[in-house]
Amino acid sequence: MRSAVGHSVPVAVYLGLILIPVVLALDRLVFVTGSNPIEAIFRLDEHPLALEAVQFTFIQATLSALLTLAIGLPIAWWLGRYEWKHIGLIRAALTLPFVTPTVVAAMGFLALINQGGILASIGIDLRNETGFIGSLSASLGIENMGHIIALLLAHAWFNLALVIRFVEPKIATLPPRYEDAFRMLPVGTSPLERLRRFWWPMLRTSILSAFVFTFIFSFTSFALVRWLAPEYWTIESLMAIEGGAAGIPGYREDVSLLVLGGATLQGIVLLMALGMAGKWQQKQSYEIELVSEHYARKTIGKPNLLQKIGMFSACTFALAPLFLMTLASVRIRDRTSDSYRWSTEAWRYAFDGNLTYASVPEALMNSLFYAIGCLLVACILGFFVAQTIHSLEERNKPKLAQTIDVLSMLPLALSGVMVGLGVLLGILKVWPALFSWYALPILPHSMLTTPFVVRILLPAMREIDSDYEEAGKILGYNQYQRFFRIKIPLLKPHLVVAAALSMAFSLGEFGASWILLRSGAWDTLPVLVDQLMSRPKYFQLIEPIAMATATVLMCMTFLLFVIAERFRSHQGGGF
Amino acid sequence: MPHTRQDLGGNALIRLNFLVALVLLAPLSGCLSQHKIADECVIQDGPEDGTLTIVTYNIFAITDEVLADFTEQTGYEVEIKPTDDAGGILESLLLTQEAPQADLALGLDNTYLQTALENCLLAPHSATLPDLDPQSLVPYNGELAVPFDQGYVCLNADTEALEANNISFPTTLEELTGDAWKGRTAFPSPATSSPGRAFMTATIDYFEQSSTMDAMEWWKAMADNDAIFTTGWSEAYEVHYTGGYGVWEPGYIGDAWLTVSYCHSPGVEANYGGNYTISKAIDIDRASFHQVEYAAKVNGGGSADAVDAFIEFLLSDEINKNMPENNYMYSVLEGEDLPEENGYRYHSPVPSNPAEISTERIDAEMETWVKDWRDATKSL
Repeated sequence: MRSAVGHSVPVAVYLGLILIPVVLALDRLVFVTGSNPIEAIFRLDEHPLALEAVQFTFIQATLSALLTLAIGLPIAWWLGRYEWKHIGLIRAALTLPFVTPTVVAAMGFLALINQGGILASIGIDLRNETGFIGSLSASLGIENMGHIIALLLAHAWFNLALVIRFVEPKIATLPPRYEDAFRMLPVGTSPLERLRRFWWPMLRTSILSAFVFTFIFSFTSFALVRWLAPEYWTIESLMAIEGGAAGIPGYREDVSLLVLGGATLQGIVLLMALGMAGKWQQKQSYEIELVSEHYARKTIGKPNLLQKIGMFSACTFALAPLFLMTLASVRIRDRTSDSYRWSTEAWRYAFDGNLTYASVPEALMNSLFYAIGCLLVACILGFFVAQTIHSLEERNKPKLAQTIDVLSMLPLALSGVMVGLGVLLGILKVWPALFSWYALPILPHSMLTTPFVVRILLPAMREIDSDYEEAGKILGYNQYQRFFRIKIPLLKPHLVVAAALSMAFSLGEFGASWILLRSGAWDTLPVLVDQLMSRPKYFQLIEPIAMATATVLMCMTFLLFVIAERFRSHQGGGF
Repeated sequence: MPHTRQDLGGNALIRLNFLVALVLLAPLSGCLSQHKIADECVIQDGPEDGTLTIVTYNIFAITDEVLADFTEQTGYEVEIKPTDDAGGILESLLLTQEAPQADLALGLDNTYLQTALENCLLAPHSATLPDLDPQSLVPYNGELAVPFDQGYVCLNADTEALEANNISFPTTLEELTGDAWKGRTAFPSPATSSPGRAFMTATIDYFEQSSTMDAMEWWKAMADNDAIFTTGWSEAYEVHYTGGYGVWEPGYIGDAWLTVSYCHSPGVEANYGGNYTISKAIDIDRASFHQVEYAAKVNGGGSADAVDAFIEFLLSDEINKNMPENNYMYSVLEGEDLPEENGYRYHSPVPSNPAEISTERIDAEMETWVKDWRDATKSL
């Protein structure tokens, strides 16, 4: 497994899959606009909304990341410190928002902040901005303050899992004797000093990594911005709305220029952010010894009432939009009497598929097919990429290791429009018939999920003691036997988590980020939800049918997470 | 001096920047491919593979059930390639012109059709057509595109809100720039919405024919009067408009008493609301637009027989007569109208004097209009 060829082929395949579409897209956009990518950044002011979008993107992504940390850190702290009953379920509940399709998340959130919704009924009217929120907006002189708050809260809701996944394992597995020893020191008696001089240095890399990833996901936010703060634009939402016309010679060249400049700027910012996160994560893995989380938790004990209330509130925050969404699938408005009634009618429509190109069972089968395909491709590619990075680290080639590490995360930094355009041009050039291939969506799904597989497997590989490898050699195992009899069994829990996550992400992925790659033959559950939500809703069952479809999707995702939680090792931090 | 982690990070960042530069500069290396739009149209036929591939947006009348009926009747399997809207169909055809990915384009309207024709994207069909409403053939009457539904885009207003605020129904567009309407109108963008594009086109004709004001001056005045501009019809109608079904939708804000929709939208509201609606279409001369949607064979696409069969199926009584219920649009069959039930017909006025603007002029000037509109409104 350590041969140069063995390493380079999967890495080259993966990097080729990522880089070829980008280069093709850039080539076409440069041709259409006559500008190079850097020049295009400086020409962004030619679009009436681009500079505003750039400014708003940076501000909202920074504020969203800070708010997510503010909400997520106490939860991660409680979750990591104490012995909780049903901790797997709690973790699954808190993680579910992260893999919820954004269009579904937006609907759930709208139900929460809607006129007559829970928040409005307690005086927090984020949608129509009356009362307290209206006064706040007026006093600060910021237009649509309620919409911005809703967006930041939704980003915090969506990314909460990132903070918990990065920080909680570190808290849960830190040897309690370290803290005990620090308490004995004169500076250790003050909780504030303990926080500043003990916990911050211990958790810094995890917190900063969580900040960066939350920043990245908020930076590239599209559906949540469109639904919750429709007056504002992020670079991604601007490109997604306009991007369909990009790359066409002689047609809407302003759009091509916007996409070229916007995607370049976005790519540079996100690559720098990913580079920092990669460096911190690598550093973190060498920092300190860890103990079993069970041991650490037992030392601290059970949570008190306040902490239980806090955790209950967090789970309620995580599940409320999804619960309201489920409720909306059986709550039917009666147009003739201006009232609502309860009915499972929408579920019957959803399963019959009378209003869409496919029924829920058909879309579910498509979704599962792609999810399994994605699992296989992403896990195999991700495994070998992680293995390559780890081997290079062990062979004292850290720079090359980090370069591949950063490049492996490139899909997270790319605009959906850019990749969509690149893949389209690539396939058109190489093999147009591929467009009709039923399994094509596995390609973009795998590209999106492989970085997560790498992030799960790489820390795990770093944790495996090299003594096991040596023991295998002493036993006379060849490299394949060592791989199958030692490495794979040791990595099994992480592989299960990676597999479950790949499937969950594939299930939740929908066409918006792959604007140019949609096809009816690929009707998946998220595409069905999108198809229904984009229809005029004169017929009162349209929205409940969309919500019923989204509920099926949510249940599938939740099931996968519960499975993943049973296998997940909570050491090291990461996804 | 041994490497520290800081050193490692710094060097890695330099390497990273180098890689970024490499990716960014790769297209400058001179190996650009040649792209050319043909001056004359050469009609090409693609392969007959027994499957009809349709590029379309989410046309409500085309459901799984309808497609299954078509397959049962004709034996042709159908594959749908959906895009966002009519503009998405044109863009998809333009992008894949060198290797067409669809056999039939379904949903191009008369604001996009001419661009498709100019770019040789369409090919003649051989379908046998029934008698069509002459009105549906006014924007285009040729063998490269067949109308399958139609409607009029116009302003809709909330009668209750106007009454409650003692505002009279507008009879000119200029009235909407007055204080009474400040912040109370919502318009979908012509750059990203078909109804928005249709209405903006109508304003060009309106101000050329009946006003001393220029259309873009009016749009600027509307922006100064805090008009709400949205990317799509859904956002304007569901989120902002107070007179429609949006009041029951999550995300409803309800700050606009007037928006752009179809003249028969109040009829659709009434049809689903037990002959009750507070929304009313506004018939102002030249301020409405006759929109026709087309089915067209794609140049370079295959399955010619299946394309013809689908066009005939689409124009059959079984499908086309039901356009008002299933697609919220008028049928194009001669003698067909909206149903009388539940006030559908009653609440759907037909504009007496819609805008008259040729498809050729739309094609020639649309890009400039959209750019001017953006400059005037400072919106997308």
